Order: sequence, then structure tokens, then C-alpha cells
Amino acid sequence: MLALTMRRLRKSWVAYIFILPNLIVFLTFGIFPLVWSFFMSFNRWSMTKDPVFIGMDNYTALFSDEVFVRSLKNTAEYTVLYVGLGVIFSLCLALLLNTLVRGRGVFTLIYYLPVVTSVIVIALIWKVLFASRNGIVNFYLDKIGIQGPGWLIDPSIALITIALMMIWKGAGYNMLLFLAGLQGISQEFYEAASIDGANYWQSLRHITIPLLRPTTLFVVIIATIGSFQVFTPAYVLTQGGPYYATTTLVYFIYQQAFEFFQLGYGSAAAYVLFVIILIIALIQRRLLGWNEEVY
Amino acid sequence: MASTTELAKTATVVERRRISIGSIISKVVIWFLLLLIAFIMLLPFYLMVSQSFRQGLVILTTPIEWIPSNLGFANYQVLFSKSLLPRWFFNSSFVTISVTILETLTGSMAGYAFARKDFPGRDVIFWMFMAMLMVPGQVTLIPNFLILRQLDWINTYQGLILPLSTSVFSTFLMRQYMKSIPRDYDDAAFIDGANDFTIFFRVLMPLCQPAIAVLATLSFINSWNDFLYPLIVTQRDEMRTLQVALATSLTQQTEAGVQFAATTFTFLPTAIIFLALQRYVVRGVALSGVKG
Repeated sequence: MLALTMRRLRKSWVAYIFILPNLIVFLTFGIFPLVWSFFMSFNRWSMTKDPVFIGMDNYTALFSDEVFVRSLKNTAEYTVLYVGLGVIFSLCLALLLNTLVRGRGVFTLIYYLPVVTSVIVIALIWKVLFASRNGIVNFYLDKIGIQGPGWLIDPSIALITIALMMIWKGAGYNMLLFLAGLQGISQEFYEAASIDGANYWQSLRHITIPLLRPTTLFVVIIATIGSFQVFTPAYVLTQGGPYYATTTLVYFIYQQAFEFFQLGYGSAAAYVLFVIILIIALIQRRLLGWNEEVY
Repeated sequence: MASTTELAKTATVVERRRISIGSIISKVVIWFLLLLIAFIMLLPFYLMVSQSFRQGLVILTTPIEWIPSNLGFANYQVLFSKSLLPRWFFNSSFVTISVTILETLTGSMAGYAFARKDFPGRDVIFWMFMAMLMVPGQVTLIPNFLILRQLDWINTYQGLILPLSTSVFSTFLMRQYMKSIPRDYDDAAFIDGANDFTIFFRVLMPLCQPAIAVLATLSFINSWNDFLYPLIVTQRDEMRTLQVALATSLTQQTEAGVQFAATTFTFLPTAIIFLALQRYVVRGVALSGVKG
């Protein structure tokens, strides 16, 4: 057993050189911080003083912290909006685009442009578009007689505005995933169905949607995991306000650690995020099977 | 009295025409919807670019001038002369190019080791790497900041680049791709006396060009658009990247036109890279599907 290992080692020790950079960064900026963060979450630690072990207190404090609970609700609400509206919108786009033979490339290009653009750039444009008083959207709404809402300053709407913006931004990406899935469905199904006299909507319901299930699941999971990590729009557009209406989970973590310097508390919140995402990822694994991942 | 064949022909003609009208209508509707959505997708970009070229102080009164009347480069001149934009652009470029090269290189090297070599611990290490994919970046954010502080890497280029110089995703992609390349190439080179490094650099890497193209493109775009991490690492204005500067230094500018000029300028490299390398971007989407 040892001899075998020694032989493997002698033959391929070079491999360690090849993985060395990865290993170093992985250990230094991956594993070590991950573990450290775990232990940090059980301490009270503001940067000026030494850490003090307080056991589970951070975690219990989190769940009685109004802002934290609000951030969980906000993030969940945002996720439901993004995944619910956004995924359906992208699916419709994919179905529409799938019918085209020519011109598909140009439309894909246009729809994907917001995807490759940074969130900050988009947020700054959105700020102008959706300003309440001089905003362009409200100006045109006013012209057709609708009183435009305070998109980013009304606490009950601000989160929705951000969700709409991110849906706009991400539509192209999800659409591409759906297109890939659609192209994996064999034409024979549709031919057989049309021989039996099925119209478009029937084919859609009985062939496309069921066969698209793995793709849909994948898109939903990816979108969900991504949504839970939303930060930049909250930071750039509304700073978590108004009245914590757009404080997301990651924004809460950022504030606690980098504005209030509560490192232990922030780490605890980060681990809550970790657990949530882990659960989602495990659900995905269960639903899609292990095979999809590595081999 | 028309013959049966003539009746049949008329019937098919009528039937064909009915189908035609239905499918024409649906085609029109589809194109209309697609064009409408394309318009919605492009409008904000047009707004940004067009207003960035508008001069004069009172920029954003409504009704908005969709075609600005007073065109010129004034906003850009202000940006270049009065703000740190050139420095920010250099920072973003330097960091992004470095990260792209390093990520691709280290990912390929590790991919080679995992795909081609059999060494003790290979599978364990690989699975650990893959497990890391499930950890959201925000969990390691706080300790990473502290580590950087310890190393005195805050507000430095190495702090911006080195922790991001490897990517588990890149490693995974390259491993998968290399596995699909027949070992015959390796063996032939080995017989000719090549060592691992030669095989890697002169045989496999050229063969992996498609995968490398995808990887580099994705890396570039992600690094250019990165926000939270550079936000934490840079506190001094002159070390900031474009994205962070837009959100911090620049919002104090009340001049909307100048802001738009800045965002246009930040947006431009991604747009160019995207237009030039779109097939790699699109392929990247499909590949990230493999990742699950």
C-alpha cells in the first residue's frame, strides 16, 4: 500500500508543482478564512478590542435583530420576484427566439448586452430613469395620465424596482440556458404531435414544458443562489433603504463588518447565508442527480 | 361541373392559404415582441451614451432630449482632467488583465495535473476544490480582509490580484476539456523525450485553445465587473477600480452628464470584448451549465 503510494509519488511528483498555485490560494484565501469565519461567528469582536467568546449569542441575537430578520425577508421577497418573474420572462424569450432561424444571433447579442454589463453601470442609468420627480419613466407615465410611484424612495416599491432592474439585466443569460435546453428536445416529438393534430399550445404543454424540466430546475436553482447574494444594487441605489426596505442579507453582512466593525456578528450572518445556500445547492443535487456536477 | 381533381386542388389551395395567414400573423407577433424587447434592452444604453455627449450644465430636465442638441466631448474632458479616471482605468485594466492571465494559466496547470497525472491525494484535493464552489464569496470576505490587512496588501495591486489569481471553476473546465483530448498526443511527445512542462506548454495548451478562449473571456468580463471585493480592498481613491470609483468617488458629482460619460467609459471595454468574442461568451454559458 505504501509502496504503491511511493511509486505514484515518484512518477508524478511534478503534478504537485502544477497544482501549487491553486493549492496555495485555496488554502490561504479559501479554506483558512472559511474556518476562521466559523470560529469568528462565536465571538464578539469589534476591530479595536480583542475577540470575546460568546458561544451562540451572535446567532440568537441575529434572529431577534429586526434588521437582520428584515434582510432575510427582503432577500426572500427579492428572490421570489426574480426567480418567479425573471425565469418565466426568460423562458418566453427563449420560446420566441427559438422560432427564428435567421436573426437569432443578433437578438441574442442584444439581449445579452445587459448581462455582460456591470451592475453599477446599469444601476446608475436606472437611477436616472426611475427618479421619482424628474425621472424619465415617471415623465412619460405622467403624460399618459398615470401618477408614477416613487420607484426608489417608496419603501413598499423600492425592492420591486431593484428586482425589475436585475430581471432586465439577467434575462439574456437565463434565456440562453433555456435555448440550450430547447435545442436538446428532439424534433421527432413535435412531428409526432402535429401528426396527431396538436396545435402549438398543446405541444408546449405536453412536450416542451415536461422535457424542459431539468433545464428549468437548473435555471431556477442558479437564479435562486444568485439572488440570495444580491448586494450591489442595494449599495449603489438605495444604501439599504428607505427604512431598510432594500437591506439584503449580503448588505447586512457588509454593513455589520465594514461599517459597524462587528466582525463576529457579521461572520455569523455570513454563515447563515452559507447554510441557506448550502441547503439550496443540496436540494439541487437531490433533484438533478449527482451526475450533473463533476464527471 | 368541376372534376374531383380540380375540387381537391381548390381545397388544398384554400387550406394552404388559411395556414399561411395564421402563420404570418404569428410571425408578425413574434417579431414585434422580439423587437419591442430589444428596444427595451437597448434604450438605457442609448440614453447613457447619448447623454454623455451632451454638454451644458442643465442635463437632465425632462422632457429629455433623445437626440442631444449640444453635442461634444466636454463631459469626457472634465472626467479626464478633473477626476482620477485615467488612473482608475489603468487600475481596472491592470488588475483585470493580470487576473485573467493568472486564472487561465493556473487553471490550465491544475487541470493538467488532475486530468493527466495520477498522484496521491488527487481525488481528495479535487473534491475539496469542487466543494468550495458551493461556498458563497461573502463567507470568506471578512477573514480575507483581515488577512490582507495582516499582509499589508490593502490598497495594493497584489491585494486586488493575487487572491483572485486562481479559480476552481477554471480548473474544473480545463480538467474536463483536457480529459477529452486523447493521450496519444502526450505519449508521442513523451516518446520524443518531452517532460511534463514541455507536454503541457507545447502540446496540450495549443490543443486547448477553444477552452482557453472561453475561460479567458469569462474571466475578463467577471474581473472587469467585479465590485464587492475591490470595494473592500481599496480605500484610497487612487487605487480604486472603475466599478468601485463609479459607486463611491463619482456619485458626489452632481453633473449627470459627467456621470454618464464615466459609465459609458466603464461600459465600453466590456462591450468591445463582448462583441468581438461573443461566441466564447455564449459557449461559456453552456459550459457553466455543465458545472451544475
